[in-house]
Amino acid sequence: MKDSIISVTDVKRTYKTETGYIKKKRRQVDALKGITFSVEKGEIFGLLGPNGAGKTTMIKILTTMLTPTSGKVSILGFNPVTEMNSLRPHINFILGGERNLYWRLSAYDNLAYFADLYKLPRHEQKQTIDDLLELVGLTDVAHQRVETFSKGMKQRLQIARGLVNNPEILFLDEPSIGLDPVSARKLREIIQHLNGKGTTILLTTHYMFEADELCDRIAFIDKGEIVDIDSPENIKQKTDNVSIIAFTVIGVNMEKLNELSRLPNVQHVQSSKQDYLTTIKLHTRSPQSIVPLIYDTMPGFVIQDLTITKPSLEDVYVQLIGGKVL
Amino acid sequence: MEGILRFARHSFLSYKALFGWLDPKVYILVMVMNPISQILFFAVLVNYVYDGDDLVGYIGANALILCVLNSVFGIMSIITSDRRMGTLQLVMATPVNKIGLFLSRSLAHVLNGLFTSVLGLIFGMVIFQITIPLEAILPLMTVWMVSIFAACGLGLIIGCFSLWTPSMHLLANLLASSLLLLSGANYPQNIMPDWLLSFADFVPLTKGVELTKQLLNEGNYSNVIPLLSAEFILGICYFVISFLFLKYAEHLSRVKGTMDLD
Ligand SMILES: Nc1ncnc2c1ncn2[C@@H]1O[C@H](COP(=O)(O)OP(=O)(O)O)[C@@H](O)[C@H]1O
Ligand SMILES: [Mg+2]
Repeated sequence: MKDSIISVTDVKRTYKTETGYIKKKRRQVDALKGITFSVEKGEIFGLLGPNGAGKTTMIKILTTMLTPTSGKVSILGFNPVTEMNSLRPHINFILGGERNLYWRLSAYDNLAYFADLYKLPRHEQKQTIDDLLELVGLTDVAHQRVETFSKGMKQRLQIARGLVNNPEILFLDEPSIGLDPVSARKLREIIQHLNGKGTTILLTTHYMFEADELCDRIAFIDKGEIVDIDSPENIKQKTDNVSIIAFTVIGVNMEKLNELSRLPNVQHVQSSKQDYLTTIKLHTRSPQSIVPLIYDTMPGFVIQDLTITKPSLEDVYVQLIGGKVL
Repeated sequence: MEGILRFARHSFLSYKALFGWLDPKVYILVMVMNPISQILFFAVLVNYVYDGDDLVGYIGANALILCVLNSVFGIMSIITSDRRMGTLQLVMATPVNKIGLFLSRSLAHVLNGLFTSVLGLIFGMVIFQITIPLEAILPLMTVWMVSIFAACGLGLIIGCFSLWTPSMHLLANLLASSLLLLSGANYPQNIMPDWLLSFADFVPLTKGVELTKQLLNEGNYSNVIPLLSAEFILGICYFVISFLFLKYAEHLSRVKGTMDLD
């Protein structure tokens, strides 16, 4: 058993909001409804879930920016609510998007700025900053203002910023949001490189393949609750005997989709529309018997590109979040 | 030593990152032309109204008032700009001491405010061909430094308000013009109604303006110590109040979740 360096026990967080001045409307949002998990030293741990699932709320709690309404959190042995001053030097975090940098400063000055805020000894700063710029491939533009940078360059500078204090744990909230595929891949390489050097990483994402490629373990989170925690392999194995039948048709309606979902042994139906083509995916354990039934159900439709495959992590995700756990 | 260097660099980089007028062209336009035209306007006005009486004092007082560019608008930027760029939440989550942080950010604006005021004074002296006694320079600079520090404290309180209200420019402009009005830079303090006068006691720059006039017009140094101490204490109080506001904002964001520092 390795050491848990993050442990979260039954954490809840509610937001109370008030709108309107005269007739106040009070509303309560239960963003986290009792979350429990732990992360071991050296892991890459992913929080995966749709928008509004509570991922950012969880990251904010872990990085001392928000307190839980109830429950227990321990990070590196510190309580982030009461011992934030002891904890902060050991962790850092990166938020997705292009903001969160000083656009009028150079890349180098951005890092120097935060190196000071993390009280890095001055004689170490130059070396550290040069190394970080090298790591994220920004050495050539070190002294250019950030406002001249592309999205991908800004995002890489954010990573460097998140590393100025050589954190033991790095938190990333949707790090690859809005990145082009090349930058996103570069980002994943950097994350893997850091992890190789021993940094524990906790990231949130709603991109399945990213979680699949990077994470040692994944927690699926939906509506403030954890639906499942496991390694990507194990999660995929839970759907061991399940196959995915995928095909495209033109002009299908809800009624037909419902009809398909009522077929025997079909566990889940997904559909996504692109232009006039609809891609339909059926989750089933007996694909051979289902295929003919599909043709029977949809007379007159042109069924194209029918394939039978093993589920991807994305398919599992849809199944879990869709509420029909196996 | 390390701490001092860090303080100084933070001050400089924050100014550059958040105020954004370090570009020479923009600086000259906003931070030089603007104050110079203001002092010209008031100096001509005062010269006409008082027929040249006590002109040195009025020019000095108006030069001091020029610091509002920094002590109101500049100081506000250390909170509003930081929040707009999405960096305020990052900064607040670092282990650095927040009081030292905001003091070092304010320092650049105290110095820049002093520089702007001196520039205004020199300009006024050249245009109206007036001189000030050599021995008045050091006391005058000390008075200005402390007075601008106090004004920055009030500016920081207004900056904190920006975390609650989006209509900040209204408040900032209101403050800038109240400072001009209440300080008595353009008329003798005693023509103000009593209630306004007692209110002005708690407004920064009032004592600085009074001392500037006494130093330059009368060569009177006797009130420097008491008035300047009062101005300094006022400044400290303003800074303490603004730190309490910042702490409260942090509490709202962290515990209540009703304030977004992002
Ligand atoms: N400051 C806040 N005040 C009120 N509700 C909030 C606040 N922050 C988040 N929420 C709500 O909490 C839920 C979880 O949000 P969030 O943690 O941002 O989810 P995610 O990052 O997974 O998209 C959402 O329903 C969101 O609207
Ligand atoms: Mg989020």
